[in-house]
Amino acid sequence: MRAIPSSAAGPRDLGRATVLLSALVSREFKSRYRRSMLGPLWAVIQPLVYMLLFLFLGTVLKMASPKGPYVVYLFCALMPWTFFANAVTRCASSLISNASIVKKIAVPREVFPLSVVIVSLLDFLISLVVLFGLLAYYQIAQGIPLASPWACAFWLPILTLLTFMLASGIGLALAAFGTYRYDVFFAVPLLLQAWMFATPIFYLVDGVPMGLRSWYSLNPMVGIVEAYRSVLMYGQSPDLSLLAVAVIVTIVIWALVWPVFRYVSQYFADVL
Amino acid sequence: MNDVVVHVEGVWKRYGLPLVPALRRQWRQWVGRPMSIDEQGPWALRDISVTVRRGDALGIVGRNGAGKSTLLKILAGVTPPNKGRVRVSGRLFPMIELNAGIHPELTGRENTYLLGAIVGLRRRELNARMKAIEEFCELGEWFDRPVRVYSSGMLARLGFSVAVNVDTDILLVDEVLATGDIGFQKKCIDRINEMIARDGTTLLLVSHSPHEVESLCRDGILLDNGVPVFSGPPKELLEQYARTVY
Repeated sequence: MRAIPSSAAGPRDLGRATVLLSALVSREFKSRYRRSMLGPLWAVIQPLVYMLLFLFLGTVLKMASPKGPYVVYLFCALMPWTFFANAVTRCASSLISNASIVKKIAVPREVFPLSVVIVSLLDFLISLVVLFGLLAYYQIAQGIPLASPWACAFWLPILTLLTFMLASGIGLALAAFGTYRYDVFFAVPLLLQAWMFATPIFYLVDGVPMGLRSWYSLNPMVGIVEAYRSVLMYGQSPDLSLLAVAVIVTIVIWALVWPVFRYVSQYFADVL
Repeated sequence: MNDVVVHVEGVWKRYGLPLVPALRRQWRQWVGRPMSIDEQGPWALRDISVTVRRGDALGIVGRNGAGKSTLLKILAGVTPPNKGRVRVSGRLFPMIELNAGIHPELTGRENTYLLGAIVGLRRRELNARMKAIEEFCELGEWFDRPVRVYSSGMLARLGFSVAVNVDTDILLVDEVLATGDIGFQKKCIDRINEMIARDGTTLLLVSHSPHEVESLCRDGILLDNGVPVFSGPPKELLEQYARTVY
């Protein structure tokens, strides 16, 4: 005899969770472009169009970049930010949009936020291809040396994992709360907008007043975004102290959020 | 006692996060006006105990909101009880929300893989059953068309065909048989009877259809306001049920 698991995790449940996780991710990718003519091409068209827009904007506004063109400066940070922001936004509604599954089976509820973070990750990897195209163009055609392959091979997986963990930690919190109260859906876009301005994506860190710097660098995305830039654009190792802040914040978020999520997720089926 | 597969003892269930009600109860206790059990509600299940043995086929009837589905949800493990003990031995398969997770743009076949993953079938296991599922649902060429063009009956066929092809020890069925046409309903009832007789599957059936209860169950309980008020063979059960309704 075994006690009934309330979305608990034994080895068999974990196996089921993995099967479900991959099914949810493949459902998203199979269905997304099903009724479009250009299909998966859209995944490349979107970043390309943004690139052209920002190329234009950067020229008009005479935006500064410490090295190389502004559009590269911007994209090295905008791509990981988009990954983060998309993942966090999708997490908040991940349980609600899968309500029928939540009410049917006792699978660990982390599967649902996790699946949308993975979807966002795959989107990010596709956009990286466009970014690498851009880097290659400036390196070959214009002779501006940017990313070094070795630094990329070493650092990109680490940075991507860190972004993944940070996004899923915050995503779990939003999913835990958003399943009960829909305030999250009104607040998240606003908060992300504010967060984006508190992150050096469009501007240089040098512009941030010295008095605010210590507060500013508590933002884990500062370290992450700057690290992506260091690796992709400056061909250097990232600033480890900034990155350490991001790692510590991520760990603290998980330590706080996960136990809460474990507790409240038992009752998700009650309120969906 | 080894053949007891489902054991529910003194289970109480109130929906929602129990945190705020617990604080409120503590407060009332503290100010010297303890809450009565009714004030702590609304209770979906009140002190319910059920024992089901291997190979049993138990019908659960009662008015809307009597707690039938709540009981199945607790057994399925999707929601925990507030009080009481629940023991389930063996694999349990909830035949509730049959079309959980399907995507309208994907074909019947693609959705079958999805439904299979949701009920815990690995791809290899599902491939082995694919032919049986396709035959059971009788959707023909519609099986490879997007499910958004399906009628509700066709959709029900799809979900049901995956569900009856899952190996399980305990089967929970919650008012899912009614959507198909008469022919398909009969096929489903025959199939479930076959699972009970041949594989020794245990059935817990929630239904409002006297016909289903009579043709599938050997035993039953009647719930009213979260309390079991009667238990017995289908004939008397349905008479009692009719009496609570009218």
